[in-house]
Amino acid sequence: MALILYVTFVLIVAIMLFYLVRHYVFSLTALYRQKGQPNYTLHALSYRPTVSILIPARNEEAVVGALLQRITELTYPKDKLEVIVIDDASTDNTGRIAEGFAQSYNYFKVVHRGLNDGGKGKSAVLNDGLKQAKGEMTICFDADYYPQIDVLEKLTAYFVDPEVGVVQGRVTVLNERATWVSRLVALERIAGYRVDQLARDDLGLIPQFGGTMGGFRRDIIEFLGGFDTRMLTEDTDLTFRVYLAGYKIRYVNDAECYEEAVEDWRAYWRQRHRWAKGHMQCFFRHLIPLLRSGNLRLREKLDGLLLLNVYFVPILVGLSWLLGAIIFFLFPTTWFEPIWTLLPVFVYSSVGNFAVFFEVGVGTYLDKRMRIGWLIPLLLFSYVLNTLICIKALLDLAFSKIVGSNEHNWAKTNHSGGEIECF
Amino acid sequence: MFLDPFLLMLLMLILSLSGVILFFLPSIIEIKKPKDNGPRRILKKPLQETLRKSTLVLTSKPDSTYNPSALIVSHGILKKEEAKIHRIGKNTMRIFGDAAFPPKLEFLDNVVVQGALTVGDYCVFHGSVKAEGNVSIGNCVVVKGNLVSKRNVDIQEEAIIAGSVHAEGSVKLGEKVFVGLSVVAEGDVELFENSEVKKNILTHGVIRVLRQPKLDLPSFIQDIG
Repeated sequence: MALILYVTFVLIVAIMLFYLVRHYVFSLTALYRQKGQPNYTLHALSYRPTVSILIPARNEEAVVGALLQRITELTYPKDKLEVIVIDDASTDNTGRIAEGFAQSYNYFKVVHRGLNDGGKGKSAVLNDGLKQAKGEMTICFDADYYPQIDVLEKLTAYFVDPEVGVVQGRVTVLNERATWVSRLVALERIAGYRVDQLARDDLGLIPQFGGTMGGFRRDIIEFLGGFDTRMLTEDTDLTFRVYLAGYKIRYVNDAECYEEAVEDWRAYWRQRHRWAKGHMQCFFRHLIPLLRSGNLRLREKLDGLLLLNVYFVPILVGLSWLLGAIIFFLFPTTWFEPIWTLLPVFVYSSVGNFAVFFEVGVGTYLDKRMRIGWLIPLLLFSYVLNTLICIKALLDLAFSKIVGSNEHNWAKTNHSGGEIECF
Repeated sequence: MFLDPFLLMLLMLILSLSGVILFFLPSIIEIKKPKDNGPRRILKKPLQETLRKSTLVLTSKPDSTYNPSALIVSHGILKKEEAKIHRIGKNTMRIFGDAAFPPKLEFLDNVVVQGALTVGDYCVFHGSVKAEGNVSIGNCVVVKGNLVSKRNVDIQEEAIIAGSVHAEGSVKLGEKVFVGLSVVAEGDVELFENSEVKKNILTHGVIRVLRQPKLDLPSFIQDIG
């Protein structure tokens, strides 16, 4: 029994150490980057494929108008642009606002989903939009987004490379001053995009498609059979399907967009719970194909494995603490010195957990915003909360597997539009 | 000499609480009196206005009359045995190692080569072409998509690239080469004056425009037809 516990414990610590190294490699790459991947940004000046913008919207009257107005201001040639707003059975004025734009601008189109079809998740909504799309490239925006005016040029420039199937831009939290929850989300975003995604792109690993503020070649998504409506995180699912098909994803740090982050812990819980559950779905779906794929290099497989596993990490950390305590108190043996039990836990807790904070710190430094870095200690709270969220998500997923249900509740994030109004 | 156990406990408690407060102190200060200047301003000037100064830009006249459908090229077949070929997605093929295509081949798919690429004369690519190594394009080759290389690109006479050319190294355009969009290169760009780039040439190196050599024959040599 003690041996089993000890082996499990050592295995978990080894996995933790992988993440530790990963965090430091990403941070150092972002700090001292030497571009390993071609930069196609300059093609933004001339390369103009036809683009369809998809905007899924469900009860987004507070924010959708600002986004649609912004899209009319984009510098991309309007004769190569098509905007499709998919009104997901909204009960507010979302549909009417979109129709207003469609009457004023001939490149706008509105798709209304029936009440029976509404609220079944973003994948289904995007699939309906894709049926109408005619552009070579498809770019997705959430209704609460507010992009730079030349964002399409910057994103589509990377499609010059025939190997690139998907591109992802950077998201910046607009309402970060609203509450300290939104400020913590802003910190997570800074680390996630400015360090994590950028380093993955530079190192030729697997940058992740975030489902919005990014896009893909329409023929690829059609070839893959559209978005899978059973998946809660259609973006992560698409990321792996694209890589398994042999294409690449590029992260474009210069292409930026504002978003409205969640402002309270309840909304944070709902959003992260969906992400965690969806990610875990992807883990079980793509783990074996990832390891067997002939289209991926070894480093891509390793990064993919760590990426798929990322929402299990908080659970593993909690488990390692629990196992360490059990071994320490219940199985004191001569060959199992307490010091060897405590040491890895101590090392990981002090250096390993710090690696995440180091990554956030590097992001704030690169963004020249050291002051927001003062909030980094508060990330401990979101870390503890994430552990609970991930445990709940795993239990929910296990329960739905046991019951044999493929229906998952798609928790939509509500937006107030308070900050976007200033534009 | 020794402290009372109760006092010792109190001291320890105060010390540990102080440690916790000290740990969170910066966060508390920033929440109470925020001095962070966020959110970051991202709505900056568009790309056209903020082109890096180190980039040389040359814009050529948009007066092309290129019509790709007017070209007739005989079909050829690339034998799968000659190279390790892997299909990716719907319309892209990946070739492992270096590849050298004989003349007059026609490719309906995008072509991605993991090594260097040499393309024979009169080949036609209906999609884009990408190579990890150097690319050498023969005479009168047509690429209807983009041409991308992680090294140098050398394009021979009268080739047509309907899209853009991208090279991490240098680019050489032979006589009467036509590029439908831009040429972007990290290294130098060399082109003949009778070649044409419809949009821009952007490079961090030097742009050299070569003139065709004029043969001034000595007066005692006569053209006898």
